[in-house]
Amino acid sequence: MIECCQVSRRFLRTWALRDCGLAIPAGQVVALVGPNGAGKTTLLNLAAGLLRPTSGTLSVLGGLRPGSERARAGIGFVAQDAPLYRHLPAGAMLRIAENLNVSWDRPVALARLAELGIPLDRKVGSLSGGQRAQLALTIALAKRPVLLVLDEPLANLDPLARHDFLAAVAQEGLSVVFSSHVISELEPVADYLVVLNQGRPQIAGAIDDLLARHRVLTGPTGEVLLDSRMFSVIQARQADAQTRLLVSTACGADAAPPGWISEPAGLSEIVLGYLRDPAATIMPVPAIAAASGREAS
Amino acid sequence: MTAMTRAVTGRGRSLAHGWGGLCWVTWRQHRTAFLCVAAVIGALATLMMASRSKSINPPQSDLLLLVLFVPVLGGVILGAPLLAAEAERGTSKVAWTQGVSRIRWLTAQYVPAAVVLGLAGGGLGLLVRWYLAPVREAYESPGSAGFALNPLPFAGWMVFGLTLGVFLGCALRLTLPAAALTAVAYVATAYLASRLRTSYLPPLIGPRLPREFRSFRASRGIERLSSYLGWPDGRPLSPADELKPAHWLAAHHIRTWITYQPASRFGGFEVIEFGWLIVLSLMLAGLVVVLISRRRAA
Repeated sequence: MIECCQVSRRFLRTWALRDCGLAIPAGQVVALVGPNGAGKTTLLNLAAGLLRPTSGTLSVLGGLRPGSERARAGIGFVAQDAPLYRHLPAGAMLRIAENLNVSWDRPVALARLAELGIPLDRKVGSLSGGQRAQLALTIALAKRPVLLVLDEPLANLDPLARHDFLAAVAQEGLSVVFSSHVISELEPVADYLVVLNQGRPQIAGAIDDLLARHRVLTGPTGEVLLDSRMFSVIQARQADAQTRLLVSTACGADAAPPGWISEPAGLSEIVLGYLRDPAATIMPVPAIAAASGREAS
Repeated sequence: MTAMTRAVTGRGRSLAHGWGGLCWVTWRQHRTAFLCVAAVIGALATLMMASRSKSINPPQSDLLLLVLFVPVLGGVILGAPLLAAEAERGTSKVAWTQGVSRIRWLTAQYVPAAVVLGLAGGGLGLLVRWYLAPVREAYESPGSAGFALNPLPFAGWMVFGLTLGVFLGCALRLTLPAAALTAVAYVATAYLASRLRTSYLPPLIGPRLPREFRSFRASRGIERLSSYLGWPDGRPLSPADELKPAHWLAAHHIRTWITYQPASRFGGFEVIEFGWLIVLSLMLAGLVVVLISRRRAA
């Protein structure tokens, strides 16, 4: 859905993205997380065609140039803070979006707003933050896109609304890429995780896969004897008596050294572990191979 | 992937409601600004009609001074916010990620506004011409500020005021500074134009006729620029010769010559002023197109 090859983007002297190679698969709900300033918004704006990369190439929807006519028609984009014409009523905002688009599903949009209890005659500026986000999402959905790119619009929604929205979208077979910095709530809704850190992707992979590949090992401090072929330590926390290790395992999950307890790792623990150690990465091999192959040609 | 192929390839490229829909967007977004400009124009027109019927001569020049600033109003409340407000509020991220292309969107935002304001300017110019009919030199003479109020030039000034606002709004991306700078730049351009206007075409030279101060307009032209003593073929006298006694001047058939713009050029001057204003506006609009298509949104 979104493919980046060595994409860099600079704003004056700061690099928001550096040599970012990434392939985000279709048909998934993809969560894009990372600390503030990691380059999430920059990446999504590049995908929406609002920015151009300083170097590198980026394609969307299977080879389309971001911002091209077909890419614009196929991507429903909601920018950070869900900007809308605040001085206009919600109904007029909807009509404006309809007139700016090639295809438009008016009944679905109206039904959705009615269901959410958003009055069409209320000024957008007087709606609550959650209602504004829902209006922006409705506009993004009504153009019948194949990919939704959402820059933290879900932050304004309560967890239930967020879950309902993503579940409904996933049911329709839409691909979704959304950014968030709330890691704890990703797991029930997202299938695929991309972690950006300091302008580079650090993790990219299916969430089930990530969970399966990481374990938390707890054991006595002082005798860390791990087989490096089986485990690589992402993060170690040592107390006087006990050491707690976040490890990625290459093989079976239960293979813990004697005297150690192996537990499944939570998604937020994995993400935080990687973010604390920017050198550690976990990226799908095919994506990197494809990216470097294209670079060579 | 079937959904994707359908959305990406299966549909026609025309927008759901075409250009009409795009123009409606412009109207709905900027309705208040359009209505404000219309209200001001309406008020001025009413005042002109009312004050002319009372006293035909002399017409109120302060009213016309207000009319001169209507293009500034268009540039400040319609032109400057057109792109600057989108950038300020981040709404260009909405407009530029829909099915419509940036250039098409910009065309639908700018061209209807320019056409409407241009027509309003032409109409206002006709009204001023009717209002000033008793004193034609007030608007026919290129040397007077009132020349800009002729229908064709004033249509040009309206379009230019709007375009200046749109351009500065696009370049600065802040509504208030763009509006202020629009007013300043417009007034500066209007002042320059009033100084340069009499030189749109090189002046004609002719002998001064007796008692022509009063009847100059009727007999000769729209603007008298200068006068000098010259030989019968029009060459000016040297400063030394000018000091010679009157009988020497008479003996050599020295006479007073004037440089002037003939009345036949009035229409041409109108067209020239309209022309350079429109060309300048098109250049600014072209710069806006370049900025918009290269620039990141907000």
